[in-house]
Amino acid sequence: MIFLLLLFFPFLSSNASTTGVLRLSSHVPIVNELSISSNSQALNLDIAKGEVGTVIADVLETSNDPQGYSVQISSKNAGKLIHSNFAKRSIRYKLSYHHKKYFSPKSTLFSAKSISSLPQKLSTISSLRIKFAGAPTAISGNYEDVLTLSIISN
Amino acid sequence: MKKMIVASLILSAFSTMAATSGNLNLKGNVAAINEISVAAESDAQNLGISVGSSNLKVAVVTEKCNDRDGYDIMMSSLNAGKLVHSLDATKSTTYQLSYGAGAMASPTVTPTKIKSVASLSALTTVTSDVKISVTSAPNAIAGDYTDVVTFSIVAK
Repeated sequence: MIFLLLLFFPFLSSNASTTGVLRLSSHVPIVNELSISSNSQALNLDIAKGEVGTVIADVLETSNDPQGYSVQISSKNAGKLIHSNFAKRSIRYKLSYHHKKYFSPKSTLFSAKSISSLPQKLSTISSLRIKFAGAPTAISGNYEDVLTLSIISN
Repeated sequence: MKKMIVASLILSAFSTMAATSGNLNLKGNVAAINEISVAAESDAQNLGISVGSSNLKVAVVTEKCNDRDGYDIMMSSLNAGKLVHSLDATKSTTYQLSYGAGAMASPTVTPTKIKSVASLSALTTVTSDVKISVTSAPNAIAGDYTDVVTFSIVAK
């Protein structure tokens, strides 16, 4: 009988208490968003005369990742505006993102901007600019490429 | 003569033992009971930081007491009424709690009285809802935000 009481006593005493604890918690998920607002110039590039730092889009980046993020760009035609009917006719171009140095886009992702850390959720607008030398003797027709921009957590 | 002396001694002894009334002392004891338990709601672990929360029930507290002078309920917060980021203590958002029918109040590190029961006539068990209002932080950095609230029952 005494043995049974000793066994039960610790159980009862741990249940009965003069204090109780409430743990409060919440989780804020990582948000990485990117939206592209293209300018009319993006679809009206002057192939014959060329472009010099023409803004072709404004990109709205939003992130709350404390580790920061990067914006990466890839090009369907690896940095070339290709004639829609004659793939051998093309114009090479370069891009600048957020006032950084011009680079030649590739078909693989290229890191155009990197933010190492964030103190809070931030939204930033970055300009995408294009430049290429004019091709006054270019054959007529449409020259196209497709750019893909991604925002990725560090 | 010797027999008379012996008889007299024995009689004398009986006269001191015998009485017309006697006392029997009885005593019982009811141990003091002061118990509190906290049953958290699932929402306590899923509070809205970015959009905030208003009057959200996060726990039910059960109070049990048999002290005739009543009792007090005390509340304290590890982070002084703030949900603090688990990796960066400089990131936080404030909150308030209401207890039972009480008004919303900001918890502090120091235990503060949030309920007082003046007297009891019997062992009494009462439950009280705990509700929270969280200040929205739409620009909060991603991660986990936590605090620990301690409730105590103190007999008067």
